[in-house]
Amino acid sequence: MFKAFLSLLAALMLAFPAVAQTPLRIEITEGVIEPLPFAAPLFQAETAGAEQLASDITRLVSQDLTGTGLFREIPASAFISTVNSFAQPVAFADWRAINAQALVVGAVSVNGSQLTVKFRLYDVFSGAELGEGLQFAGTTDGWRRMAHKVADAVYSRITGESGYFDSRVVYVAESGPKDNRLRRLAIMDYDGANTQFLTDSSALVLAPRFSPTGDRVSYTSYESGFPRVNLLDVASVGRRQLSTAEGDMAFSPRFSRDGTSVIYSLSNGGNTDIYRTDLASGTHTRLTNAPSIETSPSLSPDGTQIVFESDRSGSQQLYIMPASGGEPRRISFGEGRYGSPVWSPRGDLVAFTKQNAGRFHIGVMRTDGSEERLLTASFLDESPTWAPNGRVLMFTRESQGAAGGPSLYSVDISGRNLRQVPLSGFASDASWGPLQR
Amino acid sequence: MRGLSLLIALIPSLALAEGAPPMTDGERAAFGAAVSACWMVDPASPAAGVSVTVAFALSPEGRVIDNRVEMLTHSDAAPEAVELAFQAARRAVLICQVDGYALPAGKYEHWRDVRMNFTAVEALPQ
Repeated sequence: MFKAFLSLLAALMLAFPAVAQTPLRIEITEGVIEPLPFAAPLFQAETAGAEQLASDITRLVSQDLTGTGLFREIPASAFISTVNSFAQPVAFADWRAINAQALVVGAVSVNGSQLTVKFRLYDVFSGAELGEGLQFAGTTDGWRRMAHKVADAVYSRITGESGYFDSRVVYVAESGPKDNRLRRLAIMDYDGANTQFLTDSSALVLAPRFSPTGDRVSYTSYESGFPRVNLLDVASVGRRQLSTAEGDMAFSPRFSRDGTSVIYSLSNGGNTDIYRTDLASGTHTRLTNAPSIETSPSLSPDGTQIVFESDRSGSQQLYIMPASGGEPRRISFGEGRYGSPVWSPRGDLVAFTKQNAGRFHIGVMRTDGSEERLLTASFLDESPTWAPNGRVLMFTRESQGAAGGPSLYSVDISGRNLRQVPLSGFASDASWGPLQR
Repeated sequence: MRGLSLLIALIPSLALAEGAPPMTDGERAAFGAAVSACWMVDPASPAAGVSVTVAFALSPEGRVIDNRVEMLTHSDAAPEAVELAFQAARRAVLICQVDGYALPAGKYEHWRDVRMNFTAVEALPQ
């Protein structure tokens, strides 16, 4: 009897497995676009006198993360747990209860002028550390860079993209009345801190561009009365004029991706074409040869192609050609005029300025011209530059009126998180450098 | 006959599956909406274009058993992007459960095992 019962049981289980085991299938196609909530309790001061730096570094790490628009800091007043030591076990339930998805725990120690910052990042809902703890050592006057490095590491571990906080931007600082504006090159941290001037305002300067390693800047200078390409060493602030091909005006320079040459526009007898000058040999190569104006060249990350603007079709449009020159193909076909193209560090997008119906826009498109998206709109937006991770664009926005002037703004490539870079004066024509080493 | 009754009593899951009506479209949509509310999408992330299917088992209280969410399949993408997409899906499932998903208790066998596919319809705003 018992054997018969077991046989019947087995037969029934074989007969109905699908009924009992078919999982529920759900399709999710819409999420929420909200910043990820994180907690960053005050970093522990592990030595006497480190309290202020611990506070400053914690604040800057949080500021970097929230400034991306991708993260939201949970205020300390909401914390249930307190962190009293770097090695203390994490009470995940307490952080889950306040919906913290990530937890940054850090510690700071000071020995003379030596500063050490360490941190750990936790995925609260899995109750596990996200990557291994990291430690940075430097000097106390470099505390901002160390905070940026911590924030870069946190950003990278959570988003899967490299960070951009420990980077600098070279730009044109402007002062004085609108009809007599003085311009000089300046360099700042990505967030507007630590501004330093690289040139005086005795000559007009335009279009500064970082070298790939961030140690040099190419720019257009009117020192001689005519536009010429200058090269400047950032550390020594020493500068020299680049010996370009012969022409009336040389402008819009940009380093090649390997830093061994400079591409620029050269105007001769009213015609403007794109040239390349090798920095070691001084040899010049003409890359375009057209009766139209070709300018604003920008190389692809692999250095094989150049995107530039040209009016060869009758209006200002974007074109791509081989880096060695050759037949260009037009990539912009929308209404309006397109200019100042810049190839993304990721290689997938080209950022540009667009003028249409009396408005200026910063936009991006695929390198085949598809999927054009306008990220901004204003009286005057121009000159985009990419963050080193290709996620954010900085650009110039000019305000209207006699008292108006240019300021730097940044925007996420999703078109969200438009922010003005906090600077005390007018600023234009930024070039975002690489992550510092 | 007595033997069959005994058998059904010994296999409650089978009895429920046989006896409980299937999940309605509304119940399925409500469950999906509950998870959607915690699925944080970064439209500009490389992970935004990745479709992932995760599997998890729920307790009768509607909580993920052992907080265990596994990836079953994913669309073709870089491993880093797939991992990010999976982590976002996993977080959504775990965060929104709070005290348990509100699912019909009498239909437990229908929602005990879940396969949930996450696909962002629009990776970037146009």
